[in-house]
Amino acid sequence: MAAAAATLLLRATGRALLGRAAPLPRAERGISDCRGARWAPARPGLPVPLSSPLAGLSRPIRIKEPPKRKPVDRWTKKRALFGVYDNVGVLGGFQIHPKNLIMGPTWLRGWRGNELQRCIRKKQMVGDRMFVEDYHKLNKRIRFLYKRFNRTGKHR
Amino acid sequence: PSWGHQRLSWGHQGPPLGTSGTLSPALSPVLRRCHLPVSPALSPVQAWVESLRHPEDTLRGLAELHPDVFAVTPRLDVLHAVATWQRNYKRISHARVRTRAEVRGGGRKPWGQKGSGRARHGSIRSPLWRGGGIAHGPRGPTSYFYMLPMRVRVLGLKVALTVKLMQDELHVVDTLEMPSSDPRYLQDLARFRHWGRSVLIVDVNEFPENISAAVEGLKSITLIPALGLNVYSLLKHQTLVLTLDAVAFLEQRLLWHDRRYSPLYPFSMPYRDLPEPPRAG
Repeated sequence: MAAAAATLLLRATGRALLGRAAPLPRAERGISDCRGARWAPARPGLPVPLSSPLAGLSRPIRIKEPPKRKPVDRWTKKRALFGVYDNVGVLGGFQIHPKNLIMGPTWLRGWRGNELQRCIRKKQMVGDRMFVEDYHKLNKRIRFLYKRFNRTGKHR
Repeated sequence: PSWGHQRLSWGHQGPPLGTSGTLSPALSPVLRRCHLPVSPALSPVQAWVESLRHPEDTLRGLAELHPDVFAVTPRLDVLHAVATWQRNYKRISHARVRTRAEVRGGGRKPWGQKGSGRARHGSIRSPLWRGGGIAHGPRGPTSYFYMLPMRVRVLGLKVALTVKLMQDELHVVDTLEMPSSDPRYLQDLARFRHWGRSVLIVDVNEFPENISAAVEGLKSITLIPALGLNVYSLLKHQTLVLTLDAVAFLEQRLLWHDRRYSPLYPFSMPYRDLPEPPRAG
């Protein structure tokens, strides 16, 4: 007991003699924007570990996580049978072409074009069945695209 | 496994080669030779013939597979091209937005050109305005259709079959007859033989009822006719199971392209001088 007290006294005098200052103040926690919840002495028994930037805050910051990905079933009937019959021409005697299997608007089955070509083809194939307003808009679009492609820009 | 509790009989085919001969006398093994001529520089590749009648029935015989279909150079770029083609050629995107001409309204000049102090505008539906049209948006149903050359698609199938064989994911089966139509039997069989998570079973034309009923209840085991074989499905499923009839069918159809002339008119019309393109049965 006396020996312990003597050691402490010795250490205190040693520190005073060496001029060691008081323990350095703890550096400010580097949190960029914690919206006013600055560092305060950590209360023991908090659920957050002391090493994380959330430790020792006086008010808990609301953390937003990225949205979870919704589970996708990769083995539905459509996905499991995707691509079946794509080689029906090669393997089946060339009576059916895979472009006959495409489901879509009549003027786009097994055909590809830019916007002007698509509009012209739609007008040729389906134009007399369309609604009046849509037909009118289609004609306006064809006129505009013709002038755009053939009179402006580098390629004319 | 479920078969441990049932007494399955071997049927008329007899026990498999691998088991002891204490049961009824074993029949001769199933041997399949290549019917089509093989180039003298190459030799056929071989695969075990299995059977679905019993889970341990994996050594029923030996099948020889044509090297120009099942042992071609592994062209991964061709596989990628064909798989991408399969994904895109049937794609029709219906995305469409209205342009400033199609949005309702916007014919009148909102305020005079000069004097109001505000910016000058000609219509309230120009792309600068909230609620206005979109200048360069997606326009109408767009199709992404294109065709790869026929030889490239055929080569893609050959490369896919080669890759499946070389990676031990190809199994040849004599027929698709099963002892029961229980989906669990098929699942246990696939798990016992370590076939993988997904199995693609291919046969020509008719399927026995047992296997069609069993596959109805399973998600990752698919049954398709040989006409429906394609690179995308081969890549999606881990294992491929072919019957001997399907092997013969595929060899015949895929090897014809090595010896044909270029088409002057579509092959769907008759040719007089070419070896007859095989017609659908």
